[in-house]
Amino acid sequence: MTGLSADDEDLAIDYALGLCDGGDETSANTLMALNRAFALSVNDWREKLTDIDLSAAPQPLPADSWAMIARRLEPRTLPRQATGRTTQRLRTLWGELAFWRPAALALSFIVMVATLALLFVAKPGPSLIAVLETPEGRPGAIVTISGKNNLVLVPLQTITPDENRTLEVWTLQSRDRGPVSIGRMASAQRLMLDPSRIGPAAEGHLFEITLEPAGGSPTGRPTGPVLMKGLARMAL
Amino acid sequence: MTEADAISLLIEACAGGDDQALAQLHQREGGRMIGVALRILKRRTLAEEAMQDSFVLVWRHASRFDRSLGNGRTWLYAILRHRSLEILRKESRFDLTDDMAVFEGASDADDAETLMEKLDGASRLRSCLARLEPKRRAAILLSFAHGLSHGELAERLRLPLGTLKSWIRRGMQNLKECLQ
Repeated sequence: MTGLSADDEDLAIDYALGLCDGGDETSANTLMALNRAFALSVNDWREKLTDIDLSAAPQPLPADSWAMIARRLEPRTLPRQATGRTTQRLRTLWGELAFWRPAALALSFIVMVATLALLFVAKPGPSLIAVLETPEGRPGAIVTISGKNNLVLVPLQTITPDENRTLEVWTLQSRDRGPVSIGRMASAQRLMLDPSRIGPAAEGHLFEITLEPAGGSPTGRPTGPVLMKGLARMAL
Repeated sequence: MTEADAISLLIEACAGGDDQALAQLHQREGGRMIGVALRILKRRTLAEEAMQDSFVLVWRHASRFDRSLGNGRTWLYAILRHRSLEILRKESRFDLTDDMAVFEGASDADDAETLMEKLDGASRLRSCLARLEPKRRAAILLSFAHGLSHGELAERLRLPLGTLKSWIRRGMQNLKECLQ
């Protein structure tokens, strides 16, 4: 037995067959990253069906195939300055944001959160707040910014990854610089973020949490799936 | 060492920054990957694009490959299938009627049977699929090999959506029992 619920077992089958889309796909992607039993089940189904892939007739490789791929590879150790590809990635990120749940919900939430935040953040209250939403559009955490770049992450839902994974918090202040890591944790918890490597937070800066290998991203850039993200807004 | 283990080793070398390992993987699997993507995308240029995109993704995410969760070949072809489906969805939005010539005249039941014939005669998967009720077999083969969605399968197999979904799941469970 896999220890999965019947629903998750069904989802694993659909995902292995490529039958998930929309919300199902997002759930499956998250489970793949967070739930070892689910990932094992999906891969087990895939492995059972491998012979179908092996039965596809190999096609000739285009003459310049490898050259075309090699041109697009990122160097393994990323340089500090942004590459064209980093910009591309950021653009994708921004593009995705536009697809996320309408801002209306988030805005009403921000007002509520701003009030709440005043209760636990030192005076004066936060000047900026980012509501980080999951791909399903649910608020997953907030980041409050107050005083001289005091950044605090407050989770709104539990996330407990496998022990060989780390949650890593990033901020994106400029495309030239790219995302910078400002915190790591084994599971979702209240966390003072590290502002030492970033400039003052400002409206429109992106915050996100990704799932990384234990100890954090090996490249200094996000490598794992984005669990939640959101933009900093002025608190009223 | 099995072929799947050899692929796992190459992916692990990619995680260590060895781009020659990626080149070897491309040389070794690229042609078949185009073949797999072609079943989903039907057009050679798109299938080649899916294969190339997949190698860029393999390079980027190699450090996330975890052999204890499944072998390298499964991982590699899962990336390819995922990328092919993304391209399929994008393309079907924009040029549904383009390139009509690629659509074959054969019915979908025939198509599933063609897939069956292509499977290695010694394959246990083949003999287990052969025992399934034909529509269950077709649903599994057409979704995995051709990237058909629930809606497309329901329409082509003339089954209500709910029935189709439970048939697929039951078919897969039957398959699992047979393969054990």
